[in-house]
Amino acid sequence: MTPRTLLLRSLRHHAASHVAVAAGVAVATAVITGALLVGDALRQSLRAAALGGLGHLTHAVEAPHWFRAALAAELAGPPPERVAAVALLSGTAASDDGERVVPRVTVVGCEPELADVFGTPGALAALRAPAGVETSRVTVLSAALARDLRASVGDDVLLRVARPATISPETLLGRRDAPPATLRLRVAGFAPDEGLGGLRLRPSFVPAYAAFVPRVVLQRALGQPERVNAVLIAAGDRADGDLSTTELAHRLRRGATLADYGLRLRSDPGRGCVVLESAALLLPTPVEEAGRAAAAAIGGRPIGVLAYLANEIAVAGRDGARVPYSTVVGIEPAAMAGEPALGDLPQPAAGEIALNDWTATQLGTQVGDTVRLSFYRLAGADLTTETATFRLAAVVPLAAAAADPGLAPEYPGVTDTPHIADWDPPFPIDLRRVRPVDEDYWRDHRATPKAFVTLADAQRLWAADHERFGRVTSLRIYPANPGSAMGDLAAALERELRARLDPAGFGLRVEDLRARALAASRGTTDFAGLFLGLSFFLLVAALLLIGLLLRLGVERRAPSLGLLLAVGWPARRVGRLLLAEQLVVAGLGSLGGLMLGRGYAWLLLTGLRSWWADALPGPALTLHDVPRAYLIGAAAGFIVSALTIGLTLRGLRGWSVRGLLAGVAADPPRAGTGRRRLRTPPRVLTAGGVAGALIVVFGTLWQPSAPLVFFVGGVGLLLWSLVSVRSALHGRRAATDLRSGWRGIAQLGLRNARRRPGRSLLTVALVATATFVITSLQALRLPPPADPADRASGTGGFALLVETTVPLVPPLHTPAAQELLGLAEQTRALLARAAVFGLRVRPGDDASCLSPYAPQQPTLLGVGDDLIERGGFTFAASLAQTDAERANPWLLLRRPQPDGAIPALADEAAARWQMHRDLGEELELIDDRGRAIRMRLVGLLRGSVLQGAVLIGERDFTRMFPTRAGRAQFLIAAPPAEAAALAAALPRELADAGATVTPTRARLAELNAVQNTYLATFQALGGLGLLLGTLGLAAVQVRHVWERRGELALLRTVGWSHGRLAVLLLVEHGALLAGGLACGFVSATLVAVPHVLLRGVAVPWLSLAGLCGGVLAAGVLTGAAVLAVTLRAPLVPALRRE
Amino acid sequence: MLVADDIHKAYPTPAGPLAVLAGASLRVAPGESVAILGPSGCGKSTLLNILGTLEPPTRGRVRLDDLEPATLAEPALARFRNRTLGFVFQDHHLLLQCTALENVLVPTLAGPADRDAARRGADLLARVGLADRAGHRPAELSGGERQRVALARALINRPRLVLADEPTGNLDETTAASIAELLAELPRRDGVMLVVVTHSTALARRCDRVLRLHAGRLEPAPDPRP
Repeated sequence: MTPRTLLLRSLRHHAASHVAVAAGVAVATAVITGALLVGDALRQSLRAAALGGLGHLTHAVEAPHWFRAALAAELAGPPPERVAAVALLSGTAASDDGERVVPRVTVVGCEPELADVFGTPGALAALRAPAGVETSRVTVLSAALARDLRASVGDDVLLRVARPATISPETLLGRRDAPPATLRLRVAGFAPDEGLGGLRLRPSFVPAYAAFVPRVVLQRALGQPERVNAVLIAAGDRADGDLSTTELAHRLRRGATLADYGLRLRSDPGRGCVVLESAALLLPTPVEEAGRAAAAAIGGRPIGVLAYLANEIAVAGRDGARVPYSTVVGIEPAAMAGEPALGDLPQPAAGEIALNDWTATQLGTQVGDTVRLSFYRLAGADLTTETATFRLAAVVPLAAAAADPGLAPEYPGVTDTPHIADWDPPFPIDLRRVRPVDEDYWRDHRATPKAFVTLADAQRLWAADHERFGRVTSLRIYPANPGSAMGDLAAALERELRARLDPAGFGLRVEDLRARALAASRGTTDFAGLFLGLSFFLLVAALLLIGLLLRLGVERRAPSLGLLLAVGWPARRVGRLLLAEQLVVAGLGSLGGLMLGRGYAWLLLTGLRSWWADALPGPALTLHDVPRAYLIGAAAGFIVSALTIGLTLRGLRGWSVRGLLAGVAADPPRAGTGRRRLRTPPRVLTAGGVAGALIVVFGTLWQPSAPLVFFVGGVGLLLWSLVSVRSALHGRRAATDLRSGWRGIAQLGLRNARRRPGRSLLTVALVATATFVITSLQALRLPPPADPADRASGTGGFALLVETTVPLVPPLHTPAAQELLGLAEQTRALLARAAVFGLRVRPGDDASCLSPYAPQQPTLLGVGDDLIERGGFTFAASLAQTDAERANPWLLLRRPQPDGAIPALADEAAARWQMHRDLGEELELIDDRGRAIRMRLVGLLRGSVLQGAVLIGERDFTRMFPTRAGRAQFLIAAPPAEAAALAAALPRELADAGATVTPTRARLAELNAVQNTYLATFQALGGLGLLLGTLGLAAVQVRHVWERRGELALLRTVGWSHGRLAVLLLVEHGALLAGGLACGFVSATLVAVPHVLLRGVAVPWLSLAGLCGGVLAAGVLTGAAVLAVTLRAPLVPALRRE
Repeated sequence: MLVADDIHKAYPTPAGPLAVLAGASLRVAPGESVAILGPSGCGKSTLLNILGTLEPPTRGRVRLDDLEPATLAEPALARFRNRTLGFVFQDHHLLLQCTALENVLVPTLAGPADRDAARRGADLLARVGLADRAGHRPAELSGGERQRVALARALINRPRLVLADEPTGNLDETTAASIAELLAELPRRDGVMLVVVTHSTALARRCDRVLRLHAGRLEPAPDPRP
């Protein structure tokens, strides 16, 4: 006989109670393992989907402008099949008859070799033109797009993409009226979803709509021959090793030419200078600065020039001749200070103007006169005519430097036309004002400036938005030595300039697609932790059940334990024996829990695929048997169970040997200390309860949606109620006599419920906690807004959210846009009565809870002043300081941050759960110039339709993303009937722009469904916990009745009827159940009331009452079953036991 | 020598402390057996528990061979109980999962490994007439046999003092007589002190002295011997 033998014998002998404890451990292990497996399943699914969308692609260069297709070859080097230069655009696809339109289609202009790069050779073979044919007007559609278009091979489809704008349409000379390019193409094949058809450079579960088009066809349609806007690279698994992002970026910088940046360096031997110009007309300021530095490096002298078009030049205060449509240039005055090479350029001072002699003659003016210039200014969507006056300082001959048409930039459609009458500018011109002499001038001198002002005056008038677009139209670099060869100067300058220009500054960045996908697929949250949290109550219930069953098992062995103590076993040794026994049980239980955990994970995943699909829309979840999850699950299940066992056994240390020998496993009453011990906790806990209540009240008023406030307050109240129950169970019994009859029986039942206070408290705690969880979560459910027109609601008072694939440059509500878009009269009338607010969009990662991917670069929205001033929505928190900001926190978007960070708003849920940022914290985003921009969250919107994005002021937006013109999201407020009419009309009438219209109420419901589904999951798992609690209760009942079988037999012997015994037992158990339900329900109700009142949550009283009734019924039924067994037991053996 | 001086014991109740022992005193010499009689609820078992260090007195002292166990810390007290005391209860309290011999050996498991224990245990079982039942489990033994096993268990560590609480209370007359015989020979044969709490005058008659617990104090009882 050794301790080990005793251990083994005990294990075998008490197998029944060990099995019960092991089952509890198995449940705990299963919960943990299941949660870990679900977490792994989600991660693996996200990862597989993210990487699957990339195929073999590892990197990409996506630029906001077009560059040479040949640049691609500079990137990956040999073998050439690892790189594909593509035109990548967002557009719409429509069936031939126009019946079916699919917006947000990725139109890929590519060579068939893209399929090789992607890793699906031959998938685009259908794009290859037959021998002898230059191009083939065919397309290969992704399977998802083909399905939605219901297209078959041989059908024609229409693809519409926006024409790239070299000159920003938000400048005077930018085209705002260019219709999208429409391509009618014949479907030649399909790319499967699992292959190239699933191409996604950015992880997403939105269906992959892609149309692959011969590159040359798309380039021609867009007027971008031999140019592309993206390069896709498969840089992994190369024979010479993977290419790193850094190496690719280095190659990009080395290979990029000025043309790839949209720049041109033009030698002008006649004027002895080299001119740096941009295809965008204005030189971006960083380029201008780089040009000046490059010029300095080679000893050149840079001169900035800003050319503009004056609608009219006239002499102020004099009726007479007016010169229409003339180029006016501003020239950097510093350059004119005694520079011999430039001495023939006019040199007006500030506020002065110089006219060429042709113009002066036309106007009949002379030095000293006031000359008035009128010109267009594009302010937002409004084209206004403004004027400025100057003192005529000089009249210069139309010769030499003053006769240089190159001072004005080239502008296709104007500078290349033979007559003014042939101009095709994006603004109105009045040809009646053009005289024959003006045509003559144009014929002879084209855009040669007629007037000269200082650069500063020109920039003040015509470069107000210089931060966004630039402040000079050209930089003229003169050599230090006027005799230098222009060719050498240009070469040296280009070399210096390229050394100073970073491709990232032009949006030419090498993106590590795999790193981005892997980072995103880590998910917005730790899903294992999330599901462990959702299963938390189940875990707690399992642990309580372990404690309960263990306690019951140990109580059954009280005499044996008492004997061991009596014969001299130290208490610690007895404890160690029990612990060793239970650890073996826990070990076996945790091993058994692994299979159960797999089943639990399967159940959760099945739930996520079906009942709870709203929580995780998208991922195709499959269970992966990850050994790590099992190992951690088993270890964690064992550890938490062992801790529970240790704590339970620790609580048994106070049992008296005498009591144990007598079979009574309970603390003996302690003289002197007993009453004090029992009185103190209620006093302290009452204070705690009051504090909890205060936290709830003030916390809710201060921050109604803070989960911490909710749960700290709620759990405080629950604990307080449970300690009150504990106090009632342990406290002095009122000295009341038993009444006669049924009332007396009920009294006796209540007394009996107090016989085992520890056991009873555990039962009450189990039921109370489950009831609390299930009831309180109901308060966190997000209801649809009662009145969507309410500005303070999540809809902001807007009825519709319109999103367009192609940004609309004139805002939707302007007549210009409506005219351009060809909207019907009725739609225009509806829009005129509605309030429409446009938002600029920098597409990025969906930061809403609809996407399980972690947003790396969230979608950015630029908010105009009109929406800022209107306000609306409700803020969960803001950094408002002034009364005005407190009244309308949107104004915070205009308040510059002291440290230069950009003020930003985000939805509270997106910020906290998707981006893991709180109020006042910063996000870092990369702008179009490759700069990392810090954004500070100055306000958090509560439950809004704008959840998927970060919002910044329009001015900040355009500064960060100068080339992104137009607005692609529109919020429309309109009465319900008119909103419905617009919702029907706009998708049809804005089909070219790829518009989708979503009622904000539906959008909000879609977003709320995620949180509500998680709550439902939590509640469902809480329900499972409640089931475990009921099992625990049944175990207690069985034990309780077994212990008292003699007493009950005696009652039967002395004539108690079965009915009376039933009432006695049901009162006992019903009291515990009712106590648990009351504690949980009252605590949850108290904590939920403020939320219900503030959010207008409709409490489902019926289902809650049903839940409570169900718990009560389950308990009563269990009790009845136990009672039935008891009553069938033979009387005499039971009596002998007593 | 067992010396119990002025032992008091009171239990807290809602109505105030309930005094069970009120100055009970007792001296037992080595090799002496003492029977304590008294009506149910008079505190006999409480006194035995106090003598056996299973619960402390409210007042008073217990010494055994000049050692006062109440001064010992829990581990030392357990060791003291293990090495010095032997208990026999009315309910035998055998471990149902163990055989008769294993039950006898249970006290030896509380201390360091004792290679001689198994032999002693077998001898003790033989002494109580259960040599052929050593491998049987409690469920396979009669009430008297179980109590014999309990007696053997009480003796396994060669105690100085054996405390028996109603050892024959659950047994029939014949079986009770045989247990009483075994108990009575302990002081003579092993030199141990024996204190027996019992209602059985037959058992009491076999002891050297008989005391009566009355009003919380011990007093000599009328000689129950015929």
